[in-house]
Amino acid sequence: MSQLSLERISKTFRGVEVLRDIHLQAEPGEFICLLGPSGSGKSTILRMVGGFETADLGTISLAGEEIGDLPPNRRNIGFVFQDYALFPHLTVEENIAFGLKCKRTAAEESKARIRSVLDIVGLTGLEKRYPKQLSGGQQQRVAIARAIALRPALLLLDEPLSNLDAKLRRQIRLEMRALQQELGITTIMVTHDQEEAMTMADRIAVLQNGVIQQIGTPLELYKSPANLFVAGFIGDPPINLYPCRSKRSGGAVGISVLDTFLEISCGTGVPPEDCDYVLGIRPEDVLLSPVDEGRGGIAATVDVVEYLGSAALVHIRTAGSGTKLCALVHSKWIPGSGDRVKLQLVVENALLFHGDTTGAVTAIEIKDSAAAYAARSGS
Amino acid sequence: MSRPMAPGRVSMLLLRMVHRFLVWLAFLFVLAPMLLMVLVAFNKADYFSFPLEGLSFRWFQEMIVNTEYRSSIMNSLKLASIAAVLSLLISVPAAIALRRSSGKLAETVLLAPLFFPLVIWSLGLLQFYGMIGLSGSFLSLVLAHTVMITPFILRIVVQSLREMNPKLEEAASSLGAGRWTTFRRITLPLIMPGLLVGAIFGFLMSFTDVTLTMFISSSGSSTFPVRVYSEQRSEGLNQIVLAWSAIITLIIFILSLIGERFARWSRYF
Repeated sequence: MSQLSLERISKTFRGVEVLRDIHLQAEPGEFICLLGPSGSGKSTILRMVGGFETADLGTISLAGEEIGDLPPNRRNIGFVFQDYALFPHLTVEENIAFGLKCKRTAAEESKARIRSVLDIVGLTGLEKRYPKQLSGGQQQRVAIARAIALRPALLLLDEPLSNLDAKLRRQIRLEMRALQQELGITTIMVTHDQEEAMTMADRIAVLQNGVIQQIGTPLELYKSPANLFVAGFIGDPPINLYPCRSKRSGGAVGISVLDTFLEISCGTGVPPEDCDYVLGIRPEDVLLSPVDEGRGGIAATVDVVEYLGSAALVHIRTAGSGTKLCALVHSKWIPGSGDRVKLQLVVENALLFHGDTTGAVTAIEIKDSAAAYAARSGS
Repeated sequence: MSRPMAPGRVSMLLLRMVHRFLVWLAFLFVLAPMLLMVLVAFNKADYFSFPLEGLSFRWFQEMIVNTEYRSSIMNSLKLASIAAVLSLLISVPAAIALRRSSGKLAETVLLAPLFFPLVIWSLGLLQFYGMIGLSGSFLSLVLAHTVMITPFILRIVVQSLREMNPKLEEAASSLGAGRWTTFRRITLPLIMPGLLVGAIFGFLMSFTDVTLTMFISSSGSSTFPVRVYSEQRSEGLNQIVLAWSAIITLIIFILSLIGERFARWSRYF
């Protein structure tokens, strides 16, 4: 049985549909990220589970018990706010003790719990400090300690890392994930940072305009996004996208993009002609080679090179149609701007989406016709 | 080695001097009358005179002996304290309700007395008290003063509630606190400086009021300012008043400093 279950959740706020038909199940101990741009409804879902908003429709249950009508103080859920919401007039110790007192925990037990959670988040010795005497990272840890001291059935994190600087964010991200796994606490985190979601979550629910676009593991979302939005939102540097139209050329049906013709086939049948598609190619699936190496490929010119340290992001433009694209180069050879290069596409990793519905096309296979031709003529 | 100053710097300097002069002038106009009253309280003479004819504490001694003025001061203190506390008890729940509701109407009605001429309202109240048979009692004064100062206190309380991070109350709730516990242990301590400022401000308003009290008080329950005012009109200035004024000025000055230091109360106005 899942720990948290959202069924058919909908909400309209001042005539605007904020959430539509949300279904979400979290298994015990699972870490789920709600990922989406601002205004996508992810925070509303979290606040609903926390008890700060009510759904117009649908049910929320925690460990088999329906909690949709309970006030926040009777839900047994830990909530970590974006700005931490530490009580400024109470010390670290008193902040953590607050919840324990509300739950009428015995004094001895309470003391032991405060000690243990402070130890877990590494803040032992700061018991008597007030929130404003702590750094941002320390405040964040107090907020987590305060929430987990009550041993909640569910932990909710509302953009917990967004107020920290980049370096600290990386570190705390790892710590939080380790802590979550150690405690085995079911966790829902809201974030707009896809990298954060990819590195921390067991599963990610991608939201846009109040609708869950896709739920899946980070790898699933990356390798087989359900639609254009997910493909574009997941992945950094972002995926290259090209609108195109299927046409018959010679004996095969295919799409013309990037100065080349990619054959498409669908099992035994014939792929439809005159259909609008969008082709997606991840930057790491664009391979570059120097012109003089004599390998085949599409001729292109380098516009700009962004060095990322171990890799470089190369912005190029095809020689024929001038189509722009972006390649992630890990090799020792990195072209300079203005260089002429040859590019090859790893077409088996390319993604195809319907032009009208933006949904992923699953039944169609893409082949590099040049390679296909070579294979055919070779046999 | 001297260098001629750039013309820009000269005009800047001039501007700064003019600015400083104006600031001091403003201070002088505010503080000079008060300073004069305090100084004159130490005068040896039987009448108001400046420059002083000699220093003495005789008026302070007479101030302590004179029971009439002392009782009017006590009246004022009692009235102002009760009104301030009553008004706080009304303002806090009202402010909480106002914060939750998004409607502007309730707030407008509650704050309307801020702009309403006190004289007209006092007249109406006098008639009303006559109708319900409450004229001339101490209770009538208390109620009137409470109503008079409540819009001001309410404004300060609403302001301090709005300055509080609403997430703190949500956090308390998610930690298992019910509404009352959240109010008592989180909201109340955090708005306490605002409540204190409100109470002090309301107290001072009530303590210094002449208009309203003149209209509705019977002579018996007269307050200090009313007593000063009516005696000033009939018999001229009594030197004992100056002694009391000096003390009151000092107390208010100290209260202001405390209010500004601990609650930055100027931001509420």
